[in-house]
Amino acid sequence: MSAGGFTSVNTGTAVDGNVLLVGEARAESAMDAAACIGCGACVAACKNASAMLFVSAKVMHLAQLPQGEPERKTRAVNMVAQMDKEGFGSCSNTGACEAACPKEISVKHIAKLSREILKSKACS
Amino acid sequence: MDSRIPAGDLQGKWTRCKFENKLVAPANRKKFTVIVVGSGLAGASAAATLAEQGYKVKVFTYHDSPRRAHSIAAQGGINAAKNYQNDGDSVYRLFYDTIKGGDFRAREANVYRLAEVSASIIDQCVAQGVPFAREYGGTLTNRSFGGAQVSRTFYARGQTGQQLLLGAYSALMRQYGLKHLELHAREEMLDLVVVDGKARGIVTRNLKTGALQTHTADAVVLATGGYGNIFYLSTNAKKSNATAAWRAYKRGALMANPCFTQIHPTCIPVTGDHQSKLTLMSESLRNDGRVWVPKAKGDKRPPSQIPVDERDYYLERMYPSFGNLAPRDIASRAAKRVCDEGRGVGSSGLAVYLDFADAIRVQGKETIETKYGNLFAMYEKITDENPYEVPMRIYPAVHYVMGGLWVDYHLMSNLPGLFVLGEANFSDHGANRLGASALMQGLADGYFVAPYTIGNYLGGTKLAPAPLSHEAFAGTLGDVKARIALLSKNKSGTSALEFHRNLGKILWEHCGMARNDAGLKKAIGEIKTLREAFWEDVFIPGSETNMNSELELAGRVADFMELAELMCVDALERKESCGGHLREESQTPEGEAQRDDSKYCYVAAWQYQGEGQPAKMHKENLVFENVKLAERNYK
Repeated sequence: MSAGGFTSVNTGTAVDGNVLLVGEARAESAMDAAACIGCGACVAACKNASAMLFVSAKVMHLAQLPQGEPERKTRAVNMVAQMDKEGFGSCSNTGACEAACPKEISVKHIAKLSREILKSKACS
Repeated sequence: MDSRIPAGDLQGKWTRCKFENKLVAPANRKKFTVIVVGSGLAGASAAATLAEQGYKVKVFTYHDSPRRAHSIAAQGGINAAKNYQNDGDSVYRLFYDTIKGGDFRAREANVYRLAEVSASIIDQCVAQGVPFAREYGGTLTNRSFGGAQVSRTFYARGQTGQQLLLGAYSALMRQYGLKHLELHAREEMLDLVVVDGKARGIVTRNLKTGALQTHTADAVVLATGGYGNIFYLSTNAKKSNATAAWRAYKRGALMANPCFTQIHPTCIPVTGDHQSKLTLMSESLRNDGRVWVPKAKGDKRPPSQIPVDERDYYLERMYPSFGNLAPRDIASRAAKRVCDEGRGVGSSGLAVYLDFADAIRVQGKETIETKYGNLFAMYEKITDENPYEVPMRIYPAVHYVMGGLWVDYHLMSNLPGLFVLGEANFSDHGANRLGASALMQGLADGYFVAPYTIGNYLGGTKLAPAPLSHEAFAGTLGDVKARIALLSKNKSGTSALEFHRNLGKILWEHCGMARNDAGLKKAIGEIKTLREAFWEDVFIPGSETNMNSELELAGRVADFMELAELMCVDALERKESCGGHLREESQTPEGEAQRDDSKYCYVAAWQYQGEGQPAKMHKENLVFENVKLAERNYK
């Protein structure tokens, strides 16, 4: 989380909550990703011990919201780099994580995370 | 006992207080260390904010990660006086609702400040990316909660607490990544170190290795939650306990209104002795669910076969203007009353129905699923009944404690340098808390109040150095060691859990929703006997020098044993009914709770007088300059 699973906003600097409009569908979709409880079942179920479902859920929760936009690229890159550094494996798209997830986090977030990484590298 | 409420009109108090506060210049802040114990909403938000301001912060949690704190379990929502629904809400109305909901047993100034900063909390959380529910146009949406006639509750499905905690946690972890704070996970605070009358440090036990350690600081923040688990069966997490607060009490901090506990009306009923905890069903369900019992006593027909005219929708009948959204204490007492009359449902007869059939008919199953899907799923997992088809069965259960360590307007205890935030303090909810106000209070204290008042304390107090070599640290550490040795002395005996279960039964019976003089006196006697038996016979397997959950539990239960007695003493002393508590000697002719403002309009703050001595009560009289004390009428 400390590698970028946040928005850099100090207490007291926020604008009014309704200034940032988020459509209902987008808010619900962000909520789907945010529902992750960080239990680790996805990592335990993965034959590669990859934490991609967890990382992608956090990245895609914030990537879908305007609040997360300013740090969108660095967040995706840094969080994946941290995951690699800590020795988690790579994703080989078996889907075991989704099957094990008690909060029904979808593997589509992993695909979207890969796209986020690709975009940030291509556009940097 | 000086509550340090700023003078002047209610609306200007907090502004004046902030202006009059001493400041610490940005460059000097790194010279001060603040210990924060607890990483729930109040602790995480305070720690993150203090670290952002530039103080050195050390965070302690007994969890493996700060994100495991029990705040995460809050379901329904968080109140804020935004008036986004254009339905007449205002800071003053939130203030008034909270004071009235608390049965006029809270400080006006504190509650007004809470209402005042509530709007900033929402802004802050939105900025952190908390995915609050939205309207199609993109604006924030709200729902209603008990005790209010406006929609001011913000929510993130049925997991608002989780999302708010993840917000605070992400702010905390950001500061951790920037190396602005130290994080000590799996360290449980076992005592408070007081140097020259000021809180200067703590003693902790590493839960993995059993190692005891001392830590020094310039101020200590306790955000250690409530002690509802004292009842054994409660909706609190199994680990939640009173130890940090109780240790502070025994070092001189006052404990205020300990008998004020909240019994939440919508929990899954108790099923038997095997159960270790209870599960809450969010109060938000009462927005669409209708509460009823059969009109006839002992009617054992399945709910679908009881025609509408043989059902008693008792909340709608008794409280037509608030209906199913009557405040928690009122709804709980009403449920107890109908069950005492023999009209309870389910095999135990200790449950009432919460029925969604009408809501599903009018709004459609899909809408109900969007609003409460995860709650319905959780209910089905636990009870094996599908709430889309049969009504839920619910019954009141211990959920929250309004009582806690006494604090002044600055959230500082009578022990200088000890700040108490969130559920651990007694400040804002009086004798009953309204729904969706706990999240509000925790975050208000942590984000917007304590960071100012702690700065004032550090800026305005001359603090002598308190190195770990100071004799107070060795002394306190010695006390902790002696206590652990005493707990571990038996080679066989009874488990701490068994004692805890028995303690819970005594309290639920005599110090729960209804209390009376004889019952409380009996409870005090029983608790004393049980406590003696505990020290005589408690057996802790395993060693004290490595991970030992039995030892952790025994220490917590030992403190519960002492606190339980103080709760009963406090309840005995308060001979009025107020908030969630019916004092049987004090009822209106209709059987409603009768408050006695002439005698009991005060905060009872208890001071420890030494082992075996009765605690001494200090009264802080509550002065109401703005609201008129009225009978709480939700009819």
